[in-house]
Amino acid sequence: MPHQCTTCGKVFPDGSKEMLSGCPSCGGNKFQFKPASSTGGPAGDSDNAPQTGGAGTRDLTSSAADAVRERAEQSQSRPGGDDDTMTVSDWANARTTSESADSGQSKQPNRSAGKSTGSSNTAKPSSNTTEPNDSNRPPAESNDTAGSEHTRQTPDAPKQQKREWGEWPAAPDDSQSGDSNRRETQNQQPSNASDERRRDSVKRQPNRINARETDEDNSQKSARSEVVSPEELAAADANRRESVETPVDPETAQQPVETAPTERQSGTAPNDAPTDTDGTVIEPSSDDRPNLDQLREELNDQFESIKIVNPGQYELNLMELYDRDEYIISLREDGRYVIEVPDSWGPGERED
Amino acid sequence: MGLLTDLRDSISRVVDRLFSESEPKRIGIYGPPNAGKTTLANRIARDWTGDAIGPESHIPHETRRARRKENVEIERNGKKVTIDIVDTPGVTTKVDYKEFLEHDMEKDDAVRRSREATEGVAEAMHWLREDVDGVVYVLDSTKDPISQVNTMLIGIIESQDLPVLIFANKIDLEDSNVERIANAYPQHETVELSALEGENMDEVYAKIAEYFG
Repeated sequence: MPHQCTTCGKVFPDGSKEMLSGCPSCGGNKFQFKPASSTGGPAGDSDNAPQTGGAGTRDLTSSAADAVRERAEQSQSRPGGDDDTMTVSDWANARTTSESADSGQSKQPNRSAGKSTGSSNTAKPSSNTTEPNDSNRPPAESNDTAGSEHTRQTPDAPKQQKREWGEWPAAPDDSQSGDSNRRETQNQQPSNASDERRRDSVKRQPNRINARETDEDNSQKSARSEVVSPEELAAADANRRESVETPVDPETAQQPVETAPTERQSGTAPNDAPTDTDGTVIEPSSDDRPNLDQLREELNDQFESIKIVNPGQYELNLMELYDRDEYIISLREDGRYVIEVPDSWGPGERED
Repeated sequence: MGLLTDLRDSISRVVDRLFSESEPKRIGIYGPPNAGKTTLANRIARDWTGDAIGPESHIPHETRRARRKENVEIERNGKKVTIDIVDTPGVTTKVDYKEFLEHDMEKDDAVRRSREATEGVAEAMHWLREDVDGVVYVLDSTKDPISQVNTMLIGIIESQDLPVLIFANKIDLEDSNVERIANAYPQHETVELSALEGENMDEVYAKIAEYFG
């Protein structure tokens, strides 16, 4: 059951076209990807279910996961010729397998990359760093991929890897370094023989196992891109940003900040389009400014007090101007405002 | 602790300002563009301090930043009042650079003037909310006083419980009709004058001393 509606929980078989136009049961249009290997039971389901931020968070988190995989693949320089022929999904699958003892753990760095809420980042790592024992983990995680087809792993491996992963949340904004740490761990830990063995098997049997998962991944992406409109993703992205105290993803920092004076952008602003919603389509972070008409429209929405009809032509709403705490002290040529937010102790501003 | 001390000092200053009798009242001169606000402000300032406040012009929106003349002492009929005069940009709901083109202005200059005038309106509204203790509302008595701007501004002033005097300016012009203004705003005292010619300034000062003293 690779796909599951995040609203009603209805499960769709691999390759199903039903959900391309939304969930026939509830009309929901967000689905989560459930690899065939994670059909082990309710525990696994609960872990895969959107726990922290609802469907939108889950959706974007998995998108970020895709992006991390791609970046990891691009910067991948592992020794050993066997990696030369691996595809991204092969590598990702191999990695997922090596981490399969706890798929919740494997998602953790991706959540960080996906700018998830701080609480979800800080809650789990504490248990990882202080007590690597499995008993400290929630049952949902420990049982998550019990039914995985790639569970041939030494019992020590999860613990060693968890020690390394425990550091990621400490620097949640550095998903790249976290990723490289993880690869180094894989390379330097001889105890990961099972991992290497599995990777070899991946290479030797690419068509039998991983081609199928690649198809699943693609169908998931396809379904997402078919169903979820860009507006919805933008809205979800905006909501998610609001819930994040500090940006943790470098991509966010690269976003051109086109805020006008108040920085109160609506979620539907064109600049808020998600840059990495699907993991495969990364919109360039353009520094081009929107055309002036567009900008004026935005500003007019924000500042009903002054409507810029055309350059040099203004309509003013006196009541709005009067009611504002801050006041506009300068209008720029490009239609922007400079405002002054009055000091709480207004009379102190007087030049007495 | 330093922060608390600062806060306490700030509060003290505010309270002192509110209740101090000797503190000059800040009187805003408001009105639509080209009503003669700056002419009036200059007249008052010249009469009592010898200085002017700002340039006057027949082109609307000549005053695009609020200007202030402090400590103007006005004495009439045994009453003495010290005021800060704030000459504000003309308030309007529309600013169009094409209006300035009629006054032989280049387009670039007209557009800039328009933008600055808009800023001026915003500033005037800000002053009205934050920084004035009383209002002199100047109207061109040759024009219809019933307008959206006038009605709204006077309504705002009333809602603030600010003392207000309505000055019917330009009575030196033939088309002047003071009665129309008095009828439009019967709840307020209307004083006729010509700031340009200095007509009826005695009554103007008497009313200022009476209302804002």
